[in-house]
Amino acid sequence: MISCSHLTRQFATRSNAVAGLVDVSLDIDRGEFVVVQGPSGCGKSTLLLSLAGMLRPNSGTITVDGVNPYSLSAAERSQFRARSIGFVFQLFHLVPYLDVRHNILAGLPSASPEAVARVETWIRDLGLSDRQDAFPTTLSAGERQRVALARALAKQPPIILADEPTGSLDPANSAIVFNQLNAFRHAGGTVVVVTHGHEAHPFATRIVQLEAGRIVSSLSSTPKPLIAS
Amino acid sequence: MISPVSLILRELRHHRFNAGLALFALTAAVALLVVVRLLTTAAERETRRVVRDLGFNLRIIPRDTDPEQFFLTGYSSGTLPADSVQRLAAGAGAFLSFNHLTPSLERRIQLEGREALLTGLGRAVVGPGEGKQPMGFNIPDGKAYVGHVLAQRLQAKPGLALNVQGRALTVERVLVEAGTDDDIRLFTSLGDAQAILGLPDRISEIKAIDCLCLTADQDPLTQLRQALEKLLPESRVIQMRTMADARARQRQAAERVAAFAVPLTLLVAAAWTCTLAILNVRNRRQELGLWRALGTSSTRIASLFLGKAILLGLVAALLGYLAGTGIALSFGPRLFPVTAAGIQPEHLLLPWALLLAPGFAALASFLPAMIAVTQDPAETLRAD
Repeated sequence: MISCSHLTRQFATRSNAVAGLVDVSLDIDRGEFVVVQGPSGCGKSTLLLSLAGMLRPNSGTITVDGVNPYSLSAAERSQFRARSIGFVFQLFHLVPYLDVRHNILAGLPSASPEAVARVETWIRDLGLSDRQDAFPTTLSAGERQRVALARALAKQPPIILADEPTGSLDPANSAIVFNQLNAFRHAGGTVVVVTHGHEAHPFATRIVQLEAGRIVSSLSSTPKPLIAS
Repeated sequence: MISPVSLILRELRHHRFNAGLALFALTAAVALLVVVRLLTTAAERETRRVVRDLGFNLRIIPRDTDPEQFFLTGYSSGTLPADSVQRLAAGAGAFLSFNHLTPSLERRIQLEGREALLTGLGRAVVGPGEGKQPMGFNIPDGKAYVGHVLAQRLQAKPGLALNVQGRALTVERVLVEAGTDDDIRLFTSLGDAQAILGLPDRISEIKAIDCLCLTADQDPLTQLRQALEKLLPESRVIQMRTMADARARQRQAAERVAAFAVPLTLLVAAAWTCTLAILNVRNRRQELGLWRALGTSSTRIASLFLGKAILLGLVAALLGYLAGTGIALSFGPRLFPVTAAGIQPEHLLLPWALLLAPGFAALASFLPAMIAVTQDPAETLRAD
C-alpha cells in the first residue's frame, strides 16, 4: 500500500542543514493502523507529510498504491492527494471563513449527492449537528478536530494520515478521534498516526519508533476490537 | 466542492472588515488618480484661459509697413484686404500657429475737437472644433464702446449719440480704466470704421494669439514668419515677445506639472494596489497551503485569489471613479474659478479604471499566489 525506501529529508537553516529524515525505509500494508512515535523533532511529521505528497524528500522513493507522487506533475499530485489521502493536522487547519458543514464539503473532490449525504452522516456521527453552521473560531479544540476528521473521512480515501490528531484534545475527544480512525481501518482503510503519546497504542497494528530521523524499531501490535461509537 | 465564486463571497463576508479596508484603500487609489487627472486637466485649462486673457500677442500687419511709423503711432498706416482673415484661416495648418484671428482697422481721428484713436473690430475667427469663445469685443454696427479717458472728455454714457466724422453711433458701453492707450480709443464694428475712414473692405492688421507656445530661446518667431509667408505673403508678423514668452512659459509649466503628476499618481496608485494585493495573498498563505494539501488544483486556488482581486478591483474602480469625480466636481470650481464650467466628468476614465484597478490587483496577486502554489504544501502550511 505505502512503501518508502531510503528516504532522506534535510531542512536548510541559516548556518547548516538539519536532518529531518535519514535513510528511512518503511512498508505499510492495506488495513494497517501504524502509529509512528518519537520525541519532538525526530522527523515524525516530516515522514507523514512526505508520505502525503506534501513535502518532497531530498532522496529516496515513496510509492502509494504503486504510484510515486513525486514523479507526478503538480496538478497530478493534487489529484492524487484529493483522491488517495485524507490528512488530519495537529493544528486542524480549517478554512476560517467556512462553517463546519462547508469545511467538510471543502475536502470533497466532487459534490455528488452521495458525497453530500456522507457529509451529513459524518456531521451527525461526530456529534457536530448542533454546530454545523458555526465557524472555526467559535469551536472548541475538540470540535475543530472532529471537523478536520470528518473532512478527511467524508471523501472516503484509502489512506488517512493523522499528525498528532489528539495533541490538543481532552481524553474524551481523543477517544472519539481514535475510535473513528479505528472504524475506518476496520472498513478497509489504512491509517498512519504520528503521536508522541500512548493513546493510539490500543488501536495500532504496528508501532514505529523514530529517533533523530531514523527508525529505531518497528513492532507489530495487537489492536483492540472495534467498539461501536 | 464549493464554487470559487461562493468561496470568494464567503471569504469577503467573513473578513468583511479587512475586505472593507482593502476596498477603501483600492477605492482611494482610483479616486486619487481620477481627482489628479481631472484637476490637472482643469489646471491646464485654467492656465490656458488666464494666459489667453493676457491678450493678443501677435500682430499681423501689411508687409510694407514702416516699422518706425508703426511703433510711433501704434498702428500700420498700410492696409490689407479684409478677406485676409478668411484666407489666413483657410490656409492649411494656420491654426497650428495662429488662433483667435481678429481683423481690425485703426486710425487717428478728430473727435469733438481733439484726437482720438478709432478701432474697428471685425468678428474673430477661432480654430475649428476647439469650441473656444472669441476674444475681445463683438460690437454691433451703429454702436460704440468708449475708452475711459475719452468717455470722461465726451461725458459719454450708454445711449449717448455720437457723430463720428459724419457717421451716427450710439454709445453702448463705457470701458473701465485700462491704463493703456485703449483709454483714448473709440471701438466700433469693422464696417463702421471702414465707412468712417473711407477704407471699405480694408483692415490695418489682424490680431492673433500664437499657438506654438514656445519660449524665446526656442525661436518661435522664425516658425511664425515661415508659416505666414506661405499663407499671407503680403503681410508680416510682429510678436509681443514679453507677453508671448510669459504665456509660453506658464503653459509649458502647467503641461509639465500635468505630465509629471498624472503618471506619478498612476504609479503610486498602481504600487498601492499591488502592495495590498500581495499582502492579501501573503496573509492567506496558510489557507493556500491547506487548499493544496486538500488536493485542490492550482487553477482553482488561483481563481480564488485572482477572483477576489478582480472583484475588489472592479468595485473599487467604480466607487473610485464616482468618488474622484465627485471630489473634483466639488472642489475643482473653487480651485479654478475662471474655467469652472469646464470641469466635467471624464467618462473615458471609468473604462480605464475598470481595466487597470482589477488588472493591477490580479497581476500583483498572481505572482505570490503562483509562487505559493508551486511550493510543497507543507512548506506553505509552515509559513507562519
